[in-house]
Amino acid sequence: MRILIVEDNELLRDSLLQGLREAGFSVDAAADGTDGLWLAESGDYDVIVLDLMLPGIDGLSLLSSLRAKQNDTHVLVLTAKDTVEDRITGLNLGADDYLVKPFVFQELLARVHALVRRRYQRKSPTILLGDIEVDTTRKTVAPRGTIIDLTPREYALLEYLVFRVGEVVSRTEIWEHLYDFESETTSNVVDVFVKRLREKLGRQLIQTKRGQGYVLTVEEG
Amino acid sequence: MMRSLQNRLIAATLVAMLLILLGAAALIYGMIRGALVAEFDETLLAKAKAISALAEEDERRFELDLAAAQMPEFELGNRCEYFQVSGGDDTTLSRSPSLMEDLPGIEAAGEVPSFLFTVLPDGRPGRQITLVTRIRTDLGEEGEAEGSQQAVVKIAVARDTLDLNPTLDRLALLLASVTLGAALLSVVILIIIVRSTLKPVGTLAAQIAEIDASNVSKKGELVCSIEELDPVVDRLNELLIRLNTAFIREKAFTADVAHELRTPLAGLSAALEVCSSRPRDEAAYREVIIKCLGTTRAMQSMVENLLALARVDAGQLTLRRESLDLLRFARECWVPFEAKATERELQVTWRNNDRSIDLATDRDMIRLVLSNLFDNVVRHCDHGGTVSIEITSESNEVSLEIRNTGCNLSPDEAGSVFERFWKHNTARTEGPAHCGLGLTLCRRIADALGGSITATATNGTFAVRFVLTHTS
Repeated sequence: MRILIVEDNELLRDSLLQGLREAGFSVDAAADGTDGLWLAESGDYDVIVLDLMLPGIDGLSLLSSLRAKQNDTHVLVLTAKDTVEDRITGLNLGADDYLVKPFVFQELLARVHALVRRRYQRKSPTILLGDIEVDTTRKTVAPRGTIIDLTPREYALLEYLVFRVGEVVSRTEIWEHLYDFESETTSNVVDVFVKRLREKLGRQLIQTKRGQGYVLTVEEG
Repeated sequence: MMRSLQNRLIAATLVAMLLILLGAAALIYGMIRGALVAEFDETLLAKAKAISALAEEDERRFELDLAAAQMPEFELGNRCEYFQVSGGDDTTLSRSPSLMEDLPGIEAAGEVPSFLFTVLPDGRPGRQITLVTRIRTDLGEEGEAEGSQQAVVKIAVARDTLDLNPTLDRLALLLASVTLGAALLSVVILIIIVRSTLKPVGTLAAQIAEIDASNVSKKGELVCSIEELDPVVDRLNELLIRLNTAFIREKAFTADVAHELRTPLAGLSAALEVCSSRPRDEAAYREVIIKCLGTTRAMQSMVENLLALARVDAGQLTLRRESLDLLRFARECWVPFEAKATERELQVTWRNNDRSIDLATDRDMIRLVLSNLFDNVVRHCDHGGTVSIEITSESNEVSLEIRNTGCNLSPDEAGSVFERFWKHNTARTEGPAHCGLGLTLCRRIADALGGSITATATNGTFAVRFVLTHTS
């Protein structure tokens, strides 16, 4: 899953970047509103973590111009302003969630997870695919009740396909959700990880649609 | 002290009206009384003339034929009248039958008839006329040759004024009651008029009473229909605007302080939490520690600025003056900023016209000012730009001028940098915790020290000039 952080405080931005990356997300970060808006419009992010008081374009303007362009990426607003009016303004402009600074990083992580689930219309953090259980909070995969070892990249790919179960997903889409701008890879890397997942979870789980991409299907019964 | 405008107006108008009414009443009374007395006097004069017509001197003997005149009022009786005729030598020639002794005041009579109020012999109040006149004299045969002659006599006639006084008393009573009635009626009318006139004042007070800190911006302008109160209402409205601005600023201040403190705090918290979430190598720990330390230092200086500013605002600043060499001290204050200046490859030059510049001033305050100015310079100067710090001592003042390149402020904007929480919209601040309080604080401290601080922006160069007098 791909996250954008727009935050002008260097320490906070770097820490969020590191923390979210370590939690398995691919993360981009912008230090001001202008860069933030540019990134938000050019990349397909699952969640944007947005500070409100920003140099350049402030957070609320960024949010309203995103929404004006029909961009419905989930936005988690980070703010030091904690009055009810501020929250209402933010939510009315199209924010999906609100977190007041200072916050506990684990809470931010939980909220980001929740927003990702909301994006893919999931309520439960654990998803059952036939006899494979995927825990999106603990990032574990357990076919037939036994947790197997997956690298973060493998897990991220599986999670994305699980969220879009039954849909044909293109290589570019997968790549965009799995890799941030700092990654020096191409979408070919997706094929490598699909191959490894098939080895670990069985060939029939992920099928190739020639010229279109991949689809994850669950055999009923 | 009567503080009510209504009561004051009523009392003053009442007093004025009473005076006018009393004056008018007195005038009317005086005129009517004068007319009545004049009429009374006419009657007395007519009687005196009648008596003089009846009197004659016959062979040096005075005769008065009263019977022929049919004047029963001069008989002794209830409410009788009196007359007395005296000769030129004041010998009593004749008295009315009612009169037992001489009337007083007859001796002083002159050519012009004189009138006076008096007390009649029987004690009644009365009025008396005294008239000097000539009467016919008949000298008899001997005097025939000399023709008829006239003798000078004094005639006094007195009559009671019992009829006159009640009339006047009734008049006085009437006038007094009319005056009093008019006064009372006007009090009532006045109260009604004044109350209804002053009603807008009450409305204004009610409008003001509704205003408090929470709604000062929502309530519109105060309005009052009394033109005379316009200056007051205008001043009040101006005050409300100022108050509103202050409230907005206060609110913004709180929000800004919250942001400026909470954001680095969130950074610290996230950095430490993420760092401690798994084991890391020494270099990673060191990096986080250094970053966090930088943030805490910035937060510390911001808290110090905030506290100092609050103290200056509250007038709690106590200056401790001590001798200080500004040159050395400025170098000392620069030390913490040297690393940042080197990192940003700034070309820093120091200039001074003296080897040492001694001042008696507050060390801590000067340190706060210099730290803030230096912090601004290393923050806002363009990468690789030039910074010049010039300290000049003149006969009565010391000035410290700091210039840096890379300024994108207009000359107008340069004047606003001292406003609280002023931030340039497009300013890309370097590093954490910068909330636009530093220069505000500098100016307040400069004022407190009796010096001044000004900023100018010309052709991309920002210059701040901090001036202290030797005595400050």
